[in-house]
Amino acid sequence: MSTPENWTPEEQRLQDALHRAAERVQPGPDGLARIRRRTAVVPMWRRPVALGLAGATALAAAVIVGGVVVLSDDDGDAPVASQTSTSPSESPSETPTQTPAPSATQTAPPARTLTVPVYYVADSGDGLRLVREFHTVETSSSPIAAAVNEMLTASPADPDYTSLWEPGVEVTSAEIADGSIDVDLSAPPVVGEDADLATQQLVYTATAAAASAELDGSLPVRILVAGENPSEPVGRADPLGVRQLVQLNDPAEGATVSSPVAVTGEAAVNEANVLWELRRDGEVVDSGNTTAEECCTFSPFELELDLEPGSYQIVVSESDESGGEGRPPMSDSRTFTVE
Amino acid sequence: MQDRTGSEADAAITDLYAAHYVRLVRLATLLQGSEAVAEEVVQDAFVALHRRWRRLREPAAAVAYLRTSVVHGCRSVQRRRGVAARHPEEPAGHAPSAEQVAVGDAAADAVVEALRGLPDRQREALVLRYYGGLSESEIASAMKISNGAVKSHASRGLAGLREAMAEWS
Repeated sequence: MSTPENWTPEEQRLQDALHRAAERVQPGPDGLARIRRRTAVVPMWRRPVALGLAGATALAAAVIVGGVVVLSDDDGDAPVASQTSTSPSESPSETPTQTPAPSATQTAPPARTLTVPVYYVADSGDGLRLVREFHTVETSSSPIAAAVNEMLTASPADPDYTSLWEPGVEVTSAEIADGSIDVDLSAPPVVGEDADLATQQLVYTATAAAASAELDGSLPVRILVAGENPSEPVGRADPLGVRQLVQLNDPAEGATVSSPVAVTGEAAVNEANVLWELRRDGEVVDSGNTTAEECCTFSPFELELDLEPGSYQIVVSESDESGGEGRPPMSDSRTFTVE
Repeated sequence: MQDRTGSEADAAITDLYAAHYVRLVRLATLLQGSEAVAEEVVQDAFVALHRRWRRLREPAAAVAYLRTSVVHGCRSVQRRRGVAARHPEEPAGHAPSAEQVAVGDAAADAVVEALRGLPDRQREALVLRYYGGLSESEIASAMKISNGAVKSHASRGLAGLREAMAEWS
């Protein structure tokens, strides 16, 4: 790191000039008073969230048996819905407004393009964990049905991801019923070795899609087959226990983008520290770290890369706190092309 | 509990204001040119910090959060210079008394003027390093770019300033 001692004369002159210019700036005397006026009231934005959470918790207590916690996860998936997704022409913020009413499936709505969150699983270094992609689909179904159907029928774009649900099953409908999201499948599903995680894959997808469409993403989910035998309602398990702790959002796998490249994602990591490596043909060409907005809970991170045209892989990971003793650090990667 | 957290945040904001407000306003002025806008950007950063105080695990992260918010705020201002239209451009401290206008000040003016002509990222890297006194990774974190990119923005920025600086050295 540069210190004033090893700066060139040029750098020292610049430092001197900036300090001289800066010292002539004299802020007004009432800055703190202005800030106080704006922080005096409990911020409006916090109220609906707090109410929503309280409601969800009461509901969970009423309908859920056996240690399943329902999280509203407003911090997780809801903000994501407003981010640009795989298709830049898509405006996810418009998507919810096209959804007529919170009663999910409507009478034959026209086909439209939706960008939906879809959860898969990946080998995280701590067993299989949930990971997420955004898929753009043409559909006349409700956003929840479209998302779950995509999860059941489409392969993940990222080769590191996979689904625990065997193909051959589709979504017949997905409706918000009396205090739950009811997902009706066309046939009995076959899931891989981990039925609980497979259920969470569907629950996360359905609730994230609901939240993205400004419906109630805090509801638990019931799974039906051909309209029969609804399961017990299942809510989201604690994301720290089931999600991969580092998740990239952009660039999408295989995307072609222009420089500067915005790399965004979410991470729940120690000291909010997210490490990254940029690779070309397997060689590390640049690396660094960035910070998530908060530590230890899922929160957004971003960085920007100035890149010449070519093909790249970005790898983001948590730092290894154990000094190699514990599980390997979790990471996520994307391959993309700069045009 | 809300109250306790609230008053904790109030006390912390007061301390942070005393320690960092003036420097941050100066930083923001160097970044985007207008003192009035700088104060707004910095006040926004404090208000945002107050809101998320409850969720900030480490008080030490507060200063970094303020810095990142200020850099980001100035970037937004630069993007839609419409904000500046509401606040007529008043160049950084451009109303010095005659006594103040020493040789050094004229030189400072030349540099600030040249700085304003640089691309945003280059200006940010230079101001954060040579006014902010930050390390490379602190700058990377505030600008949300890589350490390598900080290096290249700073060196391109220095090259861009060289001409202006030669005039008064």
